[in-house]
Amino acid sequence: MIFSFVFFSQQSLSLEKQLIDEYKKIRAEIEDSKFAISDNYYFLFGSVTIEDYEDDIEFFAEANAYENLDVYAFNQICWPDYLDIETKVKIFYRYLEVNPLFDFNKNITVLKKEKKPNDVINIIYVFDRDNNTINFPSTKHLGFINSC
Amino acid sequence: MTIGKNFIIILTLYFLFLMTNISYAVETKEEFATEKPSIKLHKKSGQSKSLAEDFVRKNKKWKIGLNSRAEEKGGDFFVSVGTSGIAFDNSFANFGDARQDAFDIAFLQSKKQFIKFMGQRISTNIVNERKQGSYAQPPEPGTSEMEKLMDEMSSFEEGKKLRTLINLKLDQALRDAGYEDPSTPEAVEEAEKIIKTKEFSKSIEAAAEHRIAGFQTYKVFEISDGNKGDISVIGLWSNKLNLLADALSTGGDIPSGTPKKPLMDQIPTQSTDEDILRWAFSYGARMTTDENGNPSILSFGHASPIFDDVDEWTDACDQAILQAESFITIFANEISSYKENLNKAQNTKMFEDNANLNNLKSETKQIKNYYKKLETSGYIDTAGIEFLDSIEIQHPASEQALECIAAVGWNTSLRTAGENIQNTNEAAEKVTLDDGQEIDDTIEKEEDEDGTSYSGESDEADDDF
Repeated sequence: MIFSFVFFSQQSLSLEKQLIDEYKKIRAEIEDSKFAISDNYYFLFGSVTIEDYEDDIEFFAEANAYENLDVYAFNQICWPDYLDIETKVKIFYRYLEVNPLFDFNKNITVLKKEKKPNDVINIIYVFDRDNNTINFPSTKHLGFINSC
Repeated sequence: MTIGKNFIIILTLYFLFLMTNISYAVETKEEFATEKPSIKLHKKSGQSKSLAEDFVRKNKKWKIGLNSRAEEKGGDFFVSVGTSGIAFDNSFANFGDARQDAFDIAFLQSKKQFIKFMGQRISTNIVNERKQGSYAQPPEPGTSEMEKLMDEMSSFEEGKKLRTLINLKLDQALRDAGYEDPSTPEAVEEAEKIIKTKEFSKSIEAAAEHRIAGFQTYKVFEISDGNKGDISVIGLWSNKLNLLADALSTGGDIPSGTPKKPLMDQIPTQSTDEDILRWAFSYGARMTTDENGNPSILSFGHASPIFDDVDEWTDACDQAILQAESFITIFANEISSYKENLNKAQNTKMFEDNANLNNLKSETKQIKNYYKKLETSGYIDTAGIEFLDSIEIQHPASEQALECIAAVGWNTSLRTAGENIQNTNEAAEKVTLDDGQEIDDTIEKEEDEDGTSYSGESDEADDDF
């Protein structure tokens, strides 16, 4: 059995400690909420069912992650009881047309990719809050009184 | 005196001319010397290939390609070597995946080489048979003799069946070229030409691909300078392995003399450094038999945690198990699909339509797609795959290169057992466990780490092939 070690200097290739620490704090939350915010990062969660690998899996999972983000933002709003779900969705997306959640995203990267037995691939994306800001609409922004 | 003076002058001039000429000649020679082409051995890339080829030629005293061996010792066998670079980005978080992708490509390369060697052998055999007159009186198409031949073909051994089908195609090509009697010396000569044409070679390689069942990894070599690395796979095929593949897909008898050990004893232990290294360089699936003589498959999967943490290790090991399980399904389905095509084939079109490997590019996406199709093809039921063991290692490439390697096994007897367990599980009440308390296992390492070059090799497969 051949085995040899030769040491040489190399730049660190590990994940940043700060990112690891913050990911650990939101790890349990992201599976349920499909989105999480830590002190310095946004974490998005996207899923894709693999039909075949010709399609850009990461692209579709990223699209799903943005849909999940929309759902998260929707659920943060204290909706009045008298509105039905269709109206709520209409109001919400009309608002997002004028005020998108974010204008652009910079340096979104794949943090973790996990294949599940039922051909589903879950991908956790991360981007830093220094270069990106998500503008979550508040109940007030939508013109409702927060009664929650 | 004048004559003497003139003689001295002529002599001096001649001497000077000679000197100039000599010095010019020396310069010219030097000039040529500098322009002399020099060939240097490029030692930077594909070093694992050299290791693999040296191992084949020097250690095993085999040839790359067809190796002759006495029938009583198992008959002829093929050896091929495939190589691929390990492409990983600036994070060791995907190191395990990158190594697995490199193995997949290298294994595909070695399969393609095998197809080429097998194709050449089929062509040579066909030409020789025709020259010797052993294919002298082929039955006429549409006659009762031809029907009889087609009926008999199902009982032919694989190689003979393939050669017969290719011969029938060759007869047709000869008729198209105006040779009504394919057994005349002129026709035999023309057959040799036809068989070498590009179009016909494709048919032969498609047929050769259908003999791949049983082709498997014999040994893996891997080398890296800590930054760039490559993997070489030595692939091996023999009649005995092909028969074992047959037993695996049809449930028939295993070839005699095949070793029988419990699958658990066929994977490396975790007690010695040498065995831990065997884990690190064990890839993919390979055939074997269990202690009861059931045709079996052993498979290894690799996955990396994104950082050193108990929960991430758990996820990585789940991924490694899943990967190892999928390799068993893929391996078994690949064998079964080729065997099924061979059984059904009445002409070479079946092979041409179902040849995949030669058209497959050595590119991860294409290979994954091919595997995905095989995984879901359902040629064989691989229910009841057993988890054997897993190991968490720090790869010698870097302290950051963490990998969980899992070994799983399957044998034909587990098929029924697996189905029963599946039914029981479906009926059973689901039990949900509370999430355990998270164990904080932060990486304490400083930012700058040392990268490490490494080289290693897998365990050799059994020499009883």
